[in-house]
Amino acid sequence: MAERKTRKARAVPSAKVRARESDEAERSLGRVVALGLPALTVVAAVVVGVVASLGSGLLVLASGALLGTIALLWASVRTLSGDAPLPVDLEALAARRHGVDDLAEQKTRVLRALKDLETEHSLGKIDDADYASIVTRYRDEAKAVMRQMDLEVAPLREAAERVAREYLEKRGVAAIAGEPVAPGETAAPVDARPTCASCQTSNDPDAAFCKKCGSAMKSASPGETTDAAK
Amino acid sequence: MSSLLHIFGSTFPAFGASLLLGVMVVASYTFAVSLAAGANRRARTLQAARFGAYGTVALIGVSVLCLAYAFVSHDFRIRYVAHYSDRSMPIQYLLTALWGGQDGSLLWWLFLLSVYIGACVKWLGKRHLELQPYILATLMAIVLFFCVLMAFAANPFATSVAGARSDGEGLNPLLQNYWMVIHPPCLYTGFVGCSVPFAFAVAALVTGRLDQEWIVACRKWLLFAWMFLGIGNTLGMLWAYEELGWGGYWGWDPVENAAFMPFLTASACVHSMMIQERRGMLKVWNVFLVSLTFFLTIFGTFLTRSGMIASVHSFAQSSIGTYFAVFLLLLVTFAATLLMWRWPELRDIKPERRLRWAAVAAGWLVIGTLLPGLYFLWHTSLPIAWRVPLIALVAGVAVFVALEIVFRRMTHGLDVRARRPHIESIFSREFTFVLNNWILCSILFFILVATTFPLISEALTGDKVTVGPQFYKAWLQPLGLLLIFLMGIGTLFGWKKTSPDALKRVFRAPAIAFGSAVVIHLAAGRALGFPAVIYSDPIYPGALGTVLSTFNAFTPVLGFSLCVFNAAVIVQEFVLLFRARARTGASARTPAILWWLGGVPGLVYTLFSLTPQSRRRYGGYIVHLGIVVMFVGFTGQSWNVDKEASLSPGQSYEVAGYKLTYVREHMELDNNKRMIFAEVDVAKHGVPLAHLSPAKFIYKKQPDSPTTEVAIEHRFGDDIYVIVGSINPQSKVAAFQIHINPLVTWIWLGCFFILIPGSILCMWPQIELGESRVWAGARGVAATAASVLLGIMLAATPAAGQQPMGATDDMHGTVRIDNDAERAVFSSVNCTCGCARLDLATCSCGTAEAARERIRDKMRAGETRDQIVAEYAKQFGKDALAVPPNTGLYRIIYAVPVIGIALGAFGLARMLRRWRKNDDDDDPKPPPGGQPPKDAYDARLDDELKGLDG
Repeated sequence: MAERKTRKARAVPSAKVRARESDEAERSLGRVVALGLPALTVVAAVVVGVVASLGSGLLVLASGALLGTIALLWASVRTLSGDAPLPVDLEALAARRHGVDDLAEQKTRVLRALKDLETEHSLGKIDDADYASIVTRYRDEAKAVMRQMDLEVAPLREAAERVAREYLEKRGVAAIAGEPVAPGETAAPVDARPTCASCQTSNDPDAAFCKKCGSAMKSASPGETTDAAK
Repeated sequence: MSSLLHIFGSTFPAFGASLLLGVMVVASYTFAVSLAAGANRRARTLQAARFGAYGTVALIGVSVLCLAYAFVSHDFRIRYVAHYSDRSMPIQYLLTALWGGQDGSLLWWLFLLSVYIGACVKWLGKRHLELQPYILATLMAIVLFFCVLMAFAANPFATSVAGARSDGEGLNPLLQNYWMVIHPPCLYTGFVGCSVPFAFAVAALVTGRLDQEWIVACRKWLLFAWMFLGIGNTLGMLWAYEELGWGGYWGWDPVENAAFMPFLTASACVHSMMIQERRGMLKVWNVFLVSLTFFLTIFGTFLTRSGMIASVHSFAQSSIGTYFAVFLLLLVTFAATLLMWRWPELRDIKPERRLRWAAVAAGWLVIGTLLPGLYFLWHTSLPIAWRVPLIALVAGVAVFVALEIVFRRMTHGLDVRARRPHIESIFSREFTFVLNNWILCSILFFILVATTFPLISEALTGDKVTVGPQFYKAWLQPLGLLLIFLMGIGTLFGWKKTSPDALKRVFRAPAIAFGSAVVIHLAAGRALGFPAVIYSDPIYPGALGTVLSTFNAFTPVLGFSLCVFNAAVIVQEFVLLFRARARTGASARTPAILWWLGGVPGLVYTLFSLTPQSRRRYGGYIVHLGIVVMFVGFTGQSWNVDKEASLSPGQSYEVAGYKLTYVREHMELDNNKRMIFAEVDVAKHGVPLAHLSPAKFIYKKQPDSPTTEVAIEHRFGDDIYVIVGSINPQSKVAAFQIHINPLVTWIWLGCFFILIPGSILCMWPQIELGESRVWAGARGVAATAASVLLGIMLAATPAAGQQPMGATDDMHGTVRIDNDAERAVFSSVNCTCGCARLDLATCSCGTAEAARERIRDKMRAGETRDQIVAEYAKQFGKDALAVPPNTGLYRIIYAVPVIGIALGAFGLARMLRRWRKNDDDDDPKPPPGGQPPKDAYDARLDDELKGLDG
């Protein structure tokens, strides 16, 4: 019983590897056909068109297109039946799709409005006084939306952290599981954003170089991450 | 090889026909898989649908290639090939014949649609995964419609019953010219392109994702289609101008109108989409406009191809009307139901199942109960002229009120105020865009009613009354001027709110420009040959006609001054831009050397290196500038001079400052025709300008109907357009028609050199992150160079297009008009020869000549224009009038649009009040949620704003 189990355990990865290899082969075949068939057809059509007649060239083109149709439909049926592999990232993307995010849309709109106001102001279409009053209003709206978004995200973030912690514990990476992330750290990601020393641009927490001027960021974080990796 | 081809060829038509059925099968498969992908939301099913879509595209390609092969190999067993080609045709016209006739043009339409589908599927890639299935399904449904149409009603691969002929009939000579090679594909590219935004709208409606996503996704597709509609229409004008030989470029023909109407709705949509992007308002309106644009492309084809409305473009007609009618009905039913189903979301109400059903039920209930109601209303004894507008009014109001009542009841107690749209000020771009939508839709409505008037009048009175260009000119000039005025005003306003002081500041310079243009034009116009005020005969007797003609008399000065106004506005916007850039130091990024190279490269570089948002904005201004330049060309019409002259060799004739000298005539021969040229030298103030050779071609096949070949001297100011009517073989006396058309060249320049580059600027792809500015600039310069090159190529082609291309069947004679009084009479009545809808001032057939002669006699006998027209109408019926009379039921042709426009204005006012009210409600509201974490969020906000491209 135990032996069978181990054999199965050994067989599964090899089958997986084989499947992955054949998937990879099929993908590359797909790429070759997608590029090669049109190119070949066009070249053949031009050659035949010049050597024989325009009509024959058109026929060659038509045959190429027909072959392409067959290949595409074959690919379609195989994909539908589950035999053909999907593009690597499509599955991941599809899993990540989301519903309509009202708040995010509202935020984009308000940000766009602020940007428009900035442009109009710089073009001199809106007075300083008007500008100030409208901008204050929109900024308040934007902040309200952002606050709301954070509130909505907070429980999800906690849940995600819990899941991650549980997973790591199960895998025996107790080193990290032992030191749970302090709630304060997650709640205020804003303050963690480092500022570039030379141009004062705010950068992502894990940035190694400034996104604007390209100078190296002072590397407080790399040390931390290597520690964590250990 | 040849024997193989022979075997293959023996069943070739059957093979082609089966290909179409194959497309139908593959499209059905893809349609089904797409719907499944939408339902099960699996990436795998979607990927299968994408492959299926590509397969459909490839198979459509195969069938087009097969038809092309049939043309090239002269397979006259196929009816379509035999009908539209012959053995002597050069290769480029054999390929033109692919879309020369109806059956082929449907296949060509399908082919272009497939190209769009291929590009769209490729572009969609991993974007908009939720929308994709339904986009594909919608596009496949359209493909299916065309397949059904071709398989059952207009099969391009159908064989002739009589078997193969030895030679075909040849392509209509009107179509055998350079413009016909490029005009229909361009226009079709625009027409077909409207399907893609429609597919996005349907996908948004089905999935309920009615946020900005679909708007942002389909904006570029719509803009692309819009640009090609513009190019296609302009090329159509160019074709008419160069080939038809009546001296003009736009005849308000149903086919032209059909191509123009989607252009109007697409223009409106391009503007209103920007409001939804910024405000989340006008959701219903945008969905409606996109659907309407698509509907109009199909409807236009239906109107003109089904033979329901006669047109000079009717090169081929058949019984496909029924199919189109059914498709249109399905389309309207489907789109309307979907719209009602999503009514809650579109109105920003929390969607509930009962609300949806209520919306759909209410909508259809109203329509259902209205139908019998309409019937009764029809049979009451109200004055009939008012029945139609009244019915339309009652129907519209009833639907609206019913929906509103249902929703008021059902949403009672739901808090929707916070999400209600509002605007800060009337003095904002938002509001002028809404106004622009109103005026564009008003113009559309006018054209739509007038174009379908033959059908309407036939249904109401039994007379099929056609509407001539005079009607359109009289009514649309005021609307066009209003549009161009609003175009300038809208540009002056900024988004959100324009401060009164700022408004005064930006208005000053354009207003001064406008005022001085008016003054200068009034003072000096007449002396320069461009009088500011030109009175023409009213189209109706009575007050209405007088009002219209009085207003239109001022068109030249108003048109010119408004163009100056617009140009000043646009220049000022660019000055403001550069001033703002100088202030922030951004202008230093443009290499100074580009400015030294004449300025234009610097401008182009700056524009292409702007952030995407600004690029769209200034691209839009350039498009506006293109339209202004084109409008200058249209205004030029007011100063056209048309003269007739019979000259012996050596004689000269003076017209509008030009001296035309008839030098000699000479004859050339080729295989199938005799060509008689009249050589004319043109000079102004003694300076020779051009040498023109208008001609008559006499084809061996049709010796009795010589064709007329136009000679045009294109100039920046005036075009000199000469036609030779007849040349006496003995005395060599030639009868010339001379048209001096001022400013026509501006139309082509405006379209090809300004409008197209402007649209490209708007559509210019987002610069990817990591792409350096130098590289981005290089791409910009390359694109500009390419578009300018295209423009030059197109502008240089009149010379090529002018080469004699072939016989014109129905345009063989010439029209002789001796004076303006005659022109006024001739253009108000139609020719009765069955030439569709040409008026006596345009038609060149024998019947028209005889009719003109009779009218001349009457004029000599002292009869007035109104008397003559009335007699003519009595003799030949109401349908012989070019402008529907201002009596009884015929009044609805303008009453309906005018009422529609007024209703639109009323709706606009109401909407504005609601927005303002929402705004007032919002105003006193203190910012929610207190103040505490302000700093953190402020920093984040600033950060995000910095990251957002302006």
